[in-house]
Amino acid sequence: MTRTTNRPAPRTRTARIARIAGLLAALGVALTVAAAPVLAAPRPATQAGAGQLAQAEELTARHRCAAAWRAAAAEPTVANYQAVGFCEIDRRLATIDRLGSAIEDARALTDDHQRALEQILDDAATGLRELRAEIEADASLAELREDIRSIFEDFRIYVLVVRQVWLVVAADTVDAAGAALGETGADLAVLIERAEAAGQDVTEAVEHHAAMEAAVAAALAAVDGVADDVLPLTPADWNDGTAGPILRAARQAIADARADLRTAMTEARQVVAALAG
Amino acid sequence: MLTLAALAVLAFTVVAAGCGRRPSASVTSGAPGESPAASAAGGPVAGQPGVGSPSSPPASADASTGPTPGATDSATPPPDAATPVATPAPAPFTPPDLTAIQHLLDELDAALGADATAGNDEGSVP
Repeated sequence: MTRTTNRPAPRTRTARIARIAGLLAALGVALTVAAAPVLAAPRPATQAGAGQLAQAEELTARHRCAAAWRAAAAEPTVANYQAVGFCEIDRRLATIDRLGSAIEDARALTDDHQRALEQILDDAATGLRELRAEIEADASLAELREDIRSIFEDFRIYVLVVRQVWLVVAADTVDAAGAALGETGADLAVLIERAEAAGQDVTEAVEHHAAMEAAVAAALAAVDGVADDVLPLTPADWNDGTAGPILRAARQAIADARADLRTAMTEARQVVAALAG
Repeated sequence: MLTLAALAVLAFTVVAAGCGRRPSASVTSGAPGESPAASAAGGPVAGQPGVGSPSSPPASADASTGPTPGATDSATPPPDAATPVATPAPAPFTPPDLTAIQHLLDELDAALGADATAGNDEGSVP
């Protein structure tokens, strides 16, 4: 018995498939074109939110390690101190991963500084992984205490490396903002000239423009050399007490520059207001 | 039929995407390399409604760019020295966009905030 079907003839099927393929291809192209402006749009500033999440993760890891420390203190066995070592190393490796992502996301970071920071992170991660293997092989509490001490003193992830990353990112961000404000200042100077040529009283605008340019110059001068001071610091510099003052000075310089940049922004808005008025 | 529908969807999407695109500096600038703020105050652009022939001086006060020699419209008589030249209406004032700089300042705040909390949890061997 032959079975009859309603299947279309091969030629008709091919044509239908071709039409459907054409429709899908057109829709694909259309979606690509429609999505292009969205994809090309500047990334919104989400660094603050990511920073809060990172802080929460750091806190959780820190509490986990504190629990490991308590267990080791209550029962000082090799296994318990190994757990302490693993916890302290793993939370540092997680921090290094987050710092690597932050470096990639930092738009203002120069290529040279990005490479230098990545090198610091890579070296620290490699050293910590080697130390983890040593802790795993340790068979006595004396060996473990020595290796666990090394996690802190030979790497200084939190008091030094994290700060190196953020201070250099901050210094480069000051440079980028200063440069952008410098361009804005040049634009405003043109607008002032045109307003003056049109007979407008630009006295107030000129004064604010001068204050703006002075603030930008002060900001850029404040962070000049900050990255060069911070990047070469090593855990040994921290341990002998030389790194701490350099980091504090760098932070203060960047904080001063931030205040100058805010002043410059205020003055720029005053220029605009004076010209518009 | 389906192919025609697909082409219609494609054409509509291209037009819609073009309309929704954000203006970039090169689009808003009156000339290559000119900043949006400067070009915004530079006056009308040739080819746009309300802009006169090349014989009409541009509203820009930039002395380096005047009317092209020899490009005077033959229908417009050259300005007579005795006849006062009408001053062009000032261009609408468009302030520079400070949004990108504000974003950089926000990122600076975030970096300094992360640094402030970084050095507090190194811990030490009890």
